[in-house]
Amino acid sequence: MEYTLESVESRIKTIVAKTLKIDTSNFGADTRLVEELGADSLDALTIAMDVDDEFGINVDDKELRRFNSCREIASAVLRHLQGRPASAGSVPA
Amino acid sequence: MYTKRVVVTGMGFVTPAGRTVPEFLQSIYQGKSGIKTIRHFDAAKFRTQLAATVENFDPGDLISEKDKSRLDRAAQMGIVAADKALKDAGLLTGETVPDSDEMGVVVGIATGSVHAVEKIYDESFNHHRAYGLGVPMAMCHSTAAHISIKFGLRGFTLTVSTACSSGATAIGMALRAIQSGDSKRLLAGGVDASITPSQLAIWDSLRVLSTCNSSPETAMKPFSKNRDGLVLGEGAVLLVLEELESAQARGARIYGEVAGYGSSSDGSHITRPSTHGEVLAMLRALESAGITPDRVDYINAHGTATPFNDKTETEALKQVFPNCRIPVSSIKPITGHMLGASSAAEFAAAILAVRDGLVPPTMNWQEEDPECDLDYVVEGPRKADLDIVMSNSFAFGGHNAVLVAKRVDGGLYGIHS
Repeated sequence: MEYTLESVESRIKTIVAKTLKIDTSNFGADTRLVEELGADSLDALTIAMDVDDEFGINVDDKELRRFNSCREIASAVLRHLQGRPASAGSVPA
Repeated sequence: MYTKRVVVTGMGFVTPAGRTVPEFLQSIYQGKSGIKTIRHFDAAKFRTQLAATVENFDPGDLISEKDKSRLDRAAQMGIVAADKALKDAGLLTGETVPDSDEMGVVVGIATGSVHAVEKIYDESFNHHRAYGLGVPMAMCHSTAAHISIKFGLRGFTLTVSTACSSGATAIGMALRAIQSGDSKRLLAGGVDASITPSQLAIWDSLRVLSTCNSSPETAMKPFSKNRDGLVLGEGAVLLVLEELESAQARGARIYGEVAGYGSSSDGSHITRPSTHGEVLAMLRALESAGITPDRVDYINAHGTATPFNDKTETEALKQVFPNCRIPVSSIKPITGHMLGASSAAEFAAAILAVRDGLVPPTMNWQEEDPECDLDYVVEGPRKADLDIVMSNSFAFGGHNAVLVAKRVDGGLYGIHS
């Protein structure tokens, strides 16, 4: 299956909206999850787990927590799906 | 000896027998039982298919949609009861509690965050994934924590777990904390929300639940010879306790005085009650209140309607009160056994009884039992001049807690010994 940044973003937006109990129409792919949507560490954890389940991948949740918008998460997920670490070189083995 | 006097200035109820003080009063005096056939899961395989649940519980705007998915049902009920108690005490204007740095909360909880634990097991065993919110949701002190977080209470905050006497123990601990000068004002009471398939299964297999499935409202028959056990309930009951002078200074309405508290351990058996332990707790409560047994006007019993509890409690009462003619009643047929919340609800009933001069009846009594031969107020509510009321709670583990309520005359501001 071919993933595009847009399709992954859209699915991540759905996960974020479900976790934060908001509507997907209320934020965009670049909206800052912490600063603008008030997400906290428990939300980040929930989002990370749901993203793993959604895409069948295993993203280091510490790594995911560094991303602060649906677009950043989607980019990381895409790199995982394409067989590359999300931020090669910066994540401790 | 303590010299500070402690009064109740607010009450918050989330129970199967009502969610306001008037609703609760109406239920216990008119015998409106909250016990019903379980509908929220399939209980057909159990001997008992009854429970007293808080139907259609919804904290509304008080808890955000996000937090509704993060907080155990017990914590949500606790927050709602706390909100009601604070408002009832005139301590919540907007979202601010006065002197919140100095106000704390003591919660008695018997089973912990049962719904959260079931969710964790479901995720772990059925979906093979760790439930990320499991720890903060399931830790047994999360109800007290969430109440302190919600209302910004930064004083003495504590969770106590003494099974079915948890709420009374919490109120007793709060009484001591105020008497000792550690706190001026506390929320205290009990919370339990554990009407779940796993909890019903283990209580059912313990053979202490009534199996009168065809007649839910009359299932619990305390002190009646044909009693066959208790029915589980859920709920949250929190009271605002404060030092008398503080209550008077702010012109608070005073329900009544928390005049004494006594506790004991049976030191004998994990489930079988002991007369000796119960007697010790009652005597200590009376001593703590500085009164002799002859001054007690009414006893709100533990009265679980199990064959053994009611018999043992009756024996213990007769030892503390020789030739006992004091009215004794149990409100559990109305509330169900709300575990940690029941003893708080019963102390609230005791405080309201002294305020109103009205003894709540023991519902559903049908047959005389030679081993339960006291005056159980089976005919209906009884008017009486009540000054001192004792509330008994005798829990598994042999954890006994007894509270003494005293009338406060003068209503709004005054108090006279």
